[in-house]
Amino acid sequence: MDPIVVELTLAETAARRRGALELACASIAVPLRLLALVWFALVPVALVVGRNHLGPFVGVALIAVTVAAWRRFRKAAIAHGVQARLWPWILVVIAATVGGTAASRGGVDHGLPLLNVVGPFAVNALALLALAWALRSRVLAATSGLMLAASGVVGATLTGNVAVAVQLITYAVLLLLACARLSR
Amino acid sequence: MTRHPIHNLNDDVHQRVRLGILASLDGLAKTDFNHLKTTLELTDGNLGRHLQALEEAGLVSQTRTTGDGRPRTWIKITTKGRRALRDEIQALQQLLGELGPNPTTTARNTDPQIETLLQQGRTSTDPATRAAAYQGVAKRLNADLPYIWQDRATWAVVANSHVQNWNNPTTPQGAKAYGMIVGTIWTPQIWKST
Repeated sequence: MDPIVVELTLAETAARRRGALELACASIAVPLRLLALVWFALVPVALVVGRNHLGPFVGVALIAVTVAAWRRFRKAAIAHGVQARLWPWILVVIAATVGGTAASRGGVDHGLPLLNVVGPFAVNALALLALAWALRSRVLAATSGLMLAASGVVGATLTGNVAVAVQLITYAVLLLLACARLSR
Repeated sequence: MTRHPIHNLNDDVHQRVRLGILASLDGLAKTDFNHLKTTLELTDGNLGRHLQALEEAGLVSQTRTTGDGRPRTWIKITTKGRRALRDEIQALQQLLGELGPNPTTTARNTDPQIETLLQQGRTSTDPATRAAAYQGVAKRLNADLPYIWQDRATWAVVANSHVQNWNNPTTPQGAKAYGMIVGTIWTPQIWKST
């Protein structure tokens, strides 16, 4: 077998996989964009109601986003003949909700304000990093890294509800920028 | 004795179109027949035959629906299909490593002596050194016989208009050589060095 044939076969296969993953990335941008809007909407809640009471709002919002994404995926399948997988998003939601709640409560229970303020955001960023790995998306991976760095800076400089509000805004902006790149 | 990587290739998958189908489905929940047909630039019949083969091997599944008012065939890659795609890519990569890229000879024959001699011939302007180098190449090929040309090849060569002597060239010894302008290269003689 000629190495050129093998190389061409590998290159063509890689290009087809990349094409499929780009479609998957463009689809996943739908729930991610909704998630960014949810984070924006949670800013006044964090400042008025308080950071330790965000859980129910986040839970309801994530369920709504998941249902909306599922409907959009089905519509896109009918229109374009391609349906992306929703389970990576569902895993992100579960990881973010369970991990975020645990980090927030752990911070309160053990008197660790940094874990309480930064922990849930770090969990979200790590969940997005896992999603980036599943989709082989450098944009999402870089965004997750920037999110973690932002949380580090906020954790070192701010405290309380303000720290949470600033992280919500930063994460939302970064995610919207990433979505703009993903859906190109 | 180690098993050659070529034996790791899967007969159900090792085909350009089938690999293309699996790669196009990987990472997605499902795609419809028309999307695949457009992506892979295939005819209905051709795609249908490959899908049937992949379905019989358990690598994809097909579902027919009429939900949105028109009949559609949805194709999904199975877990076995994903594994087969991953294994095939791995086998091809191993095979490529085994074959080894060797861009300096047409048939990718790896021979350090030939490589050295070719390099001597290419880089020298001394006719005697060049003749000795290429005679050495001929001797090695005669001894090793890595391949035998069985067919003629049609070549297309695009060159700058300043390049001269494409047609009716002569060898350094003054004998007539075969020009490339005709477009077909064939082996008119077999030279055996002693």
